[in-house]
Amino acid sequence: MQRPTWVRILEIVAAVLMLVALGMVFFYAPLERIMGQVQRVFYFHVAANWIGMLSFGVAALSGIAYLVTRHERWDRLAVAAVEIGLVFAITGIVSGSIWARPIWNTWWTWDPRLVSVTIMVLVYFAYLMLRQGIEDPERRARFAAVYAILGFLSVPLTFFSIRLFRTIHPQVIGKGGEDAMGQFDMTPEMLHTLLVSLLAYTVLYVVLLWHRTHLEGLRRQVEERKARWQSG
Amino acid sequence: MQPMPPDTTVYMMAGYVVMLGGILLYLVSLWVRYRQVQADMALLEEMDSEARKMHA
Repeated sequence: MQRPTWVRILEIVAAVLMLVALGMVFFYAPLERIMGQVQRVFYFHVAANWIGMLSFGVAALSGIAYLVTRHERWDRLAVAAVEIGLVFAITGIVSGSIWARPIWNTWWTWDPRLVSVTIMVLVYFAYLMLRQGIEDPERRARFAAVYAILGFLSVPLTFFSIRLFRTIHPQVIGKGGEDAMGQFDMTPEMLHTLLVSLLAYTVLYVVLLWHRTHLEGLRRQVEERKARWQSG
Repeated sequence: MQPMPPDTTVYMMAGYVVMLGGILLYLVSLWVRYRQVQADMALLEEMDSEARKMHA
């Protein structure tokens, strides 16, 4: 597969960083005394959710860029960003649910953070469904761009939900509320591990975004050529 | 004496299986889609060259 040198380099960097992050999660970060081993889920759980939100932000910015320039490359970037964002947001939700089982004694509860993140994921599933429902590429790209911009409102709602509402979800940045269950004080080692995990996920994200955008471009070329054949 | 933390190793492992498995599945899906697109491209290329031969 043809790809630029910088993508090849980033692929290697992403793989190395993921291995380093995993090593730090299991061998460098200390065992949390109250929660035990399951607390280690936190490092990749936070990183996965960070990528979900970042990716939906990229989709919104791509939507703005598309509406301004009408260049289809922004539409390709937006669809790639939404798809990848969904993958990471869903792994974030499921890993959070697994963490919650021993800590909250339930797989799921209708807490403001869990509700808002579910709404966010459903909003972006609807984005993909909207795209499926519109045949004309220009119209599809325009509608999708507007939707990606409006849909982004669900991201700050999710991020700030634990600060705005009464919640049992722990707060990583700043002090958690009185009701937070599973809150812990981060040691320097835990913070280093979290930062490396965030970096590893971010580099991996850039690589995935390039590949998915490139794939979308190839897919569209195939569709156009098929359409030319069908029209004779 | 410090109390021992609860044994939550299984949940930790399940969490990492989900997170790493999700990434792996997505990588596989990208690879499969790349292969499908490349196969379509090769077929269209062949059809184009056949058509050019017929016109010549």
